[in-house]
Amino acid sequence: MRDGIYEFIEGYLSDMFASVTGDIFNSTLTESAIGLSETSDRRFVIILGLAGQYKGRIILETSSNTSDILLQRMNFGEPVLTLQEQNLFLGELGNMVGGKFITALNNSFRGLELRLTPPIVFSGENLSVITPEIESIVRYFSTDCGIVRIDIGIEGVKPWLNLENF
Amino acid sequence: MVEFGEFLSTALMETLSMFGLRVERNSTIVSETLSSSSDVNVVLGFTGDARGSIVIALPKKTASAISTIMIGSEEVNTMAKSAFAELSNMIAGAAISKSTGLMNLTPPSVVTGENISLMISRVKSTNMEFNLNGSPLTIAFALE
Amino acid sequence: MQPLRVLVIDDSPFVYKAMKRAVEAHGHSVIGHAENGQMGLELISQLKPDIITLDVTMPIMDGLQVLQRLDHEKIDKVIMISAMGDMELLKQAKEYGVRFFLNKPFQPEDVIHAINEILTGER
Repeated sequence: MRDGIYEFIEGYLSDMFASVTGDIFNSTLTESAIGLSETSDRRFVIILGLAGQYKGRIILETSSNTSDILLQRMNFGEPVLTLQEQNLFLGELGNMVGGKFITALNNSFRGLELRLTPPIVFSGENLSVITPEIESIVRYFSTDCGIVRIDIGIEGVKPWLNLENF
Repeated sequence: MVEFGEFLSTALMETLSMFGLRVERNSTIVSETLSSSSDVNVVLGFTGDARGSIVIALPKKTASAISTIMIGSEEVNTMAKSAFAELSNMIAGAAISKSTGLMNLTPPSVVTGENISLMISRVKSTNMEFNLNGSPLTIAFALE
Repeated sequence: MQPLRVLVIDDSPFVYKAMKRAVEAHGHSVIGHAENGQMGLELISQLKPDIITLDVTMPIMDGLQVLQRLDHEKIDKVIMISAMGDMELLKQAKEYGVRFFLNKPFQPEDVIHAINEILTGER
């Protein structure tokens, strides 16, 4: 496992997500200690796979209230009405977040050559997403649209194997 | 596209038969989007010479049946989900290895919930439907 | 300046709308939208746009496959749009002769800057 990838992700995640959300829907963003509430409300989940020298995935999750506001912002003030259009817009958001993330990683770690797979957008109640065998870095971001959860997991990147922590 | 579908179909039947599970192939439907409304979904992506997604979709009844055989419990818990992920990895990996070109698979993610809607738009998808002792199971894929 | 006719080749409705707003705010117009490369090639031939924005990753036919089928005169009008920042893909696009690239998400002023650079190159 390449040294430094975990620290890079940890350090970069806030800036990366802030720049994407700021550019797309002019939203300010702070890292949040409060997660998504544990309700059975409808949620949206965007999953993007990572493949290349390492494998993994990026998951974005938000409540349907937040995604409604977010979608309307992305659509320049008009609501996004059909499920298919919601899927397209959220998929594009996933592509932009994922694209920025792997660009930064690929540029910083030569030979990594991570690629994104097409985004898959889920919505549902009591949603649970697990990727077995992958430990992940999870952060919550508070935007003026609501809270967004980002979960990034790459095979072999385990926080507690970082020797600098000992 | 047809060939990849056949590789996936064969891989599914051979992998499940390793665990004593016999599936019968039903219909194949080509649609404009890849979608699912099943309770349990395992999703994998791949990139390389081809880029796309694979989804194995199961209603709770089928998931419980497979879980009973694989881990001895019909509850779709974390261990069962791990088992589904492992199965899906074997199936997708076998299909990819038979395909021409170099492709990299992503790790499988297992998505469960209620009133689920999954969609990958704008790419034609092939949905292959199977029957596991009266319980339905679908494997779908979409290539960009 | 004469208003320019812009063709957007991108499978994302969000990018299409963002591009339309950026372009129309500066007096130009979006004359067509293709959701994949194949449709894009047809519209390039029919509409003869002044500027072409071209996404890298699209279903059916991607951006690089479109470039393979364009002559140099048309490639000079292309602004390549990418979310991936994929160095290898961008390098291939450069080898085809593309001079202008934008990463998603982009700012309207970045689009106009690229358009102005294309015009400057033509004068």
